[in-house]
Amino acid sequence: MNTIREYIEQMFKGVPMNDETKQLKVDILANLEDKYLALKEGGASENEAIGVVIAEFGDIDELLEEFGVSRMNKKVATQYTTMREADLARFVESKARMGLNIGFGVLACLSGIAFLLLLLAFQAMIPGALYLGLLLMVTSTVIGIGLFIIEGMKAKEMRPFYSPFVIMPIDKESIQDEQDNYKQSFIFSIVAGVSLCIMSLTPVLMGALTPMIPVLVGVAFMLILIGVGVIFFTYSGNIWSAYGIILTNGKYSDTIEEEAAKDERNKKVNYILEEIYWPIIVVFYLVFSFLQGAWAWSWIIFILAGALESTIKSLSGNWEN
Amino acid sequence: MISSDVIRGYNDTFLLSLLNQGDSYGYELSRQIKEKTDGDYIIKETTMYSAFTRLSKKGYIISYPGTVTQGKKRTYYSITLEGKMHLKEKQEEWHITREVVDHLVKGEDK
Repeated sequence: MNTIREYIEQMFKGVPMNDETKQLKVDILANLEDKYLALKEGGASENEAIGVVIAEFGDIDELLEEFGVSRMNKKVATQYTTMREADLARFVESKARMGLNIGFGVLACLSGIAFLLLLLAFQAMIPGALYLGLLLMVTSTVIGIGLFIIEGMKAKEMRPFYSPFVIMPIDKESIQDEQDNYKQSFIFSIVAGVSLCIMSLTPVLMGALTPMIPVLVGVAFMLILIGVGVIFFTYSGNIWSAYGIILTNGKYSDTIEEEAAKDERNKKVNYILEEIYWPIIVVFYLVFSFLQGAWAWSWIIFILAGALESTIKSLSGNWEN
Repeated sequence: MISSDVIRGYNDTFLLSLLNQGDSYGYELSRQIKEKTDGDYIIKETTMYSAFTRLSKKGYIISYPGTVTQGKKRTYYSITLEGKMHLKEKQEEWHITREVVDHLVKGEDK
């Protein structure tokens, strides 16, 4: 019995596991065991029974082809992690939580300042308002920074997703679907976040232009509204980018080596562009504008530089082909 | 034992035909094939599951988790209406095929 189990383990080594292939393995093992027991009951010896079962197993590659997966070669299997459905779901979930916590962290820091401003606004009525305000601000900031640190530490667990990993075609498709389904919520959240940020000017204007509330109170409310807006951005943005990261870095086992090498080359081009190209453009813009006093139109250089950047990128892509 | 090359195109039909008599699971189906042919044809495990996958994709069969028997939870398969229609076509095709092969392989004059 153990021999059969080991045989199946051996056969399925390197097969990317998802719900389908996992079930397949369980089903096949159950069949083989049934067959083995029946043969034993029919009077076959242990060795005979195992021999027949293995002979009647067939060719695993025939089956995998039908499933649209191929056994990874050993190199791929050891070099790259395989992310299964549950891993992917967990990643999206942790990214979402991370976005939420960072958003709340920002809100906490901003509300700290808001508390201080509110108390300062009513300094005349509340004795020791300054100290109470400072205390509240420090507390909120500590909470906010605490949230950042916690999320920063948790980010380590997600690191495997930031380099190429093996993904099953069926899982990639369902992530794509999930992203498509999330699109509307994402757009809604961005609109909500932007609206909150724009609306945040209202209390400030009310404070500055009308006698309804003191300016400081207006500013305090602005900060809180911005903080809430930021939560919309960070939460939905993190979920959206989680899907994007999976779709970019999740590769199929048969092409992962090629694609990872290509990404590596693109990384170099991106590095050159970001670290060398753009700084030069910025320096050039500043120097030129100062010397010529051409601030009115010199910004055009950024548009030209942007166009040139896409040219460089597509050229470097073409060279590879 | 029959060579699997000859019979390859008919594995899907065998399984459909057996499932047409009632829902069943992997081992039971391969046992039935062996029994009905007196051991002349034994379907390989991987051949059978390739066929299940193909048939499911085409919508001819559906699978569902069955109840636990002998400590194992088995995946049961059930033929769909489309599967039944496809089986009928295949059965008619087989009648013609059999005649063609009979005529050409036998080598005796009628």
